Amino acid sequence: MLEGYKDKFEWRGILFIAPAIIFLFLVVIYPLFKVFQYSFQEYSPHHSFVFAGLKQYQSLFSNELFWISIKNTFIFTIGTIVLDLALAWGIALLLNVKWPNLKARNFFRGALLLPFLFSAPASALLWGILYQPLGFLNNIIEQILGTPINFLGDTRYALFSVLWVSVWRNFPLIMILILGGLQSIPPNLYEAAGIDGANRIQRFWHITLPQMRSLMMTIIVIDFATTFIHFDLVWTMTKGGPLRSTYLISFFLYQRGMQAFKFGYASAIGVITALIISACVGAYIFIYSKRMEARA
Amino acid sequence: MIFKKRFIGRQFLRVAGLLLAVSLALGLGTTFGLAQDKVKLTWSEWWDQEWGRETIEWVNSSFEKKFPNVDVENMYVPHIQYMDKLLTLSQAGEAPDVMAMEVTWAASFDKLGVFENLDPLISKADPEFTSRHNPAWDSWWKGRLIMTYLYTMSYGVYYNKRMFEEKGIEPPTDWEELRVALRKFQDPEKHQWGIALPVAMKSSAHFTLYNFWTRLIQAGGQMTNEEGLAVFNSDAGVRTLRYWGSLFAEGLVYPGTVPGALAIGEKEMIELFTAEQVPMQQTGPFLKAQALERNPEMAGNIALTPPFKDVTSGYLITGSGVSLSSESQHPELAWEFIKHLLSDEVALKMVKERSLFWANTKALEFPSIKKDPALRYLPEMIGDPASQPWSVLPQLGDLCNSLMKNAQEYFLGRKDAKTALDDANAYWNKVIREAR
Repeated sequence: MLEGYKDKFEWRGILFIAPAIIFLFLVVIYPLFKVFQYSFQEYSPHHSFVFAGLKQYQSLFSNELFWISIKNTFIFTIGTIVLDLALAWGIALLLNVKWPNLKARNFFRGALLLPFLFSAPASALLWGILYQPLGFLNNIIEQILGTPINFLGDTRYALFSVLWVSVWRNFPLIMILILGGLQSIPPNLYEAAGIDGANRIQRFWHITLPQMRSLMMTIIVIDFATTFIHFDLVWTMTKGGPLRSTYLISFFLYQRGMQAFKFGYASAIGVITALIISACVGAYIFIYSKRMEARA
Repeated sequence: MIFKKRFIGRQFLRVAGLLLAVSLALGLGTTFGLAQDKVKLTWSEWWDQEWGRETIEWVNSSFEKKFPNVDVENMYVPHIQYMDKLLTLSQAGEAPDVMAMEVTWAASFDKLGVFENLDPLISKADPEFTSRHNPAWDSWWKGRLIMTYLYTMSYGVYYNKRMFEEKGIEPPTDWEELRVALRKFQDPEKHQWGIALPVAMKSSAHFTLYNFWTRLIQAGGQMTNEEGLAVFNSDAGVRTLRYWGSLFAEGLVYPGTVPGALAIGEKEMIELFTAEQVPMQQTGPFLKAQALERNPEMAGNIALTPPFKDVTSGYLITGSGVSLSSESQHPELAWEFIKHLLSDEVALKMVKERSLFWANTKALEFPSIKKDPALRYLPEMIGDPASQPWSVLPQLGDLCNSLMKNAQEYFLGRKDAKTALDDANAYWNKVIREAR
């Protein structure tokens, strides 16, 4: 029956999906192709592009700032994902157990979502005030440690300070996704494991984690792709400083493209960024699939 | 029933036909008839809030009175979105006839070929215009005059009068007196310092303009030479950087440590000034409006120190201005509109009613400026023969970041002043040469 359905080609079907295909082509495929094309060209006055070969890529790879931004972006992205997951897992597990007071649990579930509702500039403003050299946080820190921490002014702490704000904004969404995943695990699996004598750690390791693998892969891929191109929060807080310690690849692209109007160069940065994200995500999915196959 | 339905259907068709005919007639009338004699002149700006909507409309209507065949249409875009919007319009070949422009963006936009050279127009302008025009208000790039200022200003040291009076301190009149005043205000126990400086990377442009460039001119140096290449790694440049470095080293700058200061940008600087945690700020005349918006009780409390003098008494002359589009269909009218914006009529209104510092020498002599403690020395600072206009520079944000990064390395003791400036200077010249 399926074979028969496949053999019957319907032009009307193409008509139905045509709007979606045209839309996809116009807003995704065509711009991607143009960015790739521009990366081999140079923008000249009067709105025209001239072929420049690999010049943009050569210039990009010989730029020290590019490598600094790549290094910072990887630290920022991996740090954000690790902390996002650790925090989201910890809180989701806490919220998933039975609480003596259901209202209190629901209140915390709602309250913990609040950071996600803050826009990036609002979060930057809020944490900018908290991070002030003589601000609220430093008042407490000074009383405990005897000396304040220059969160945004010290090259040792600046990247981790902005990374934390990114985590603070991101983790509630991940927490909710994990919580949803945890609640969808059939309880009879835990009951059966309990009868077999499995303790909490064993149940977590052998039931919870395997059941959550697909969801975790989706979360990690999305978190990686969105954090790697993160811009607004860090731009508002530090603009890459001090001493370029928080300079990300997205700043490099923005400055070359939108401030210097070097569209060819910015396109090359965009292409490289897309390739890095695709390679990392592809490698992760490949390893994940291989492991799943091995388990099967 | 069927008859009734047909009747309603006919009626509907008649009404629809009539509406279509009227629409067509109106459309054609507007296209060929009613607007036939009117020339539409467009200009883009981000000044609606500063000038007020009624002032913008007055500017437009007063020009339309002078040129009855012209219909002026302005396009307001908030400053933060302006560059992106204008870029999109320029690429679409729909740039407005007259464009508000920042000197920081000018070189980038020139790359798109959107500017008409104003030099032939200004050199042929009538004496009424040229007698009110200071050539330092013109911005040149690659041998072409691509924008002229509407506003003009210099960056000086502003102070809180009440805080100075309470301490019984006279406002400083030179850089060493500034240091002395800073020592008197330094009180870490009360979290009080004399000044905050915009040395965070996010304020690299502010540091470059307010603190480095201004101090450099006073130290007898230049940012760029006649060829437009960076020359700030001079002895005067080293002296400039060492001056600011010595204030940090002495703990005279909020919050008393270099890493702490590296988190302070212009926004924090204004907050500290308006919260009266610091009594001084080196910035432009816009400080008054910014401070009063946050703390209306500061009214009458903000004053500009008398012009400083070191090796020279010069200051940096800067401002925001307008450019004429190379795509304009009516360049003569667009130029007339620019002259109108800079005319005595508009300039005096802006000074009188909006306290705006207009790029018109007659307006700068207006008595209200002399009476305003936040403005009174500005004409002197701008008119000083040693004052230098701001050079148009490519990728200014990038250049400022480079200077800021090297200055930060010096402040943190990772580089000496000369090496830091040599490195920044070399980067500037690389970018400038590439842009040419």
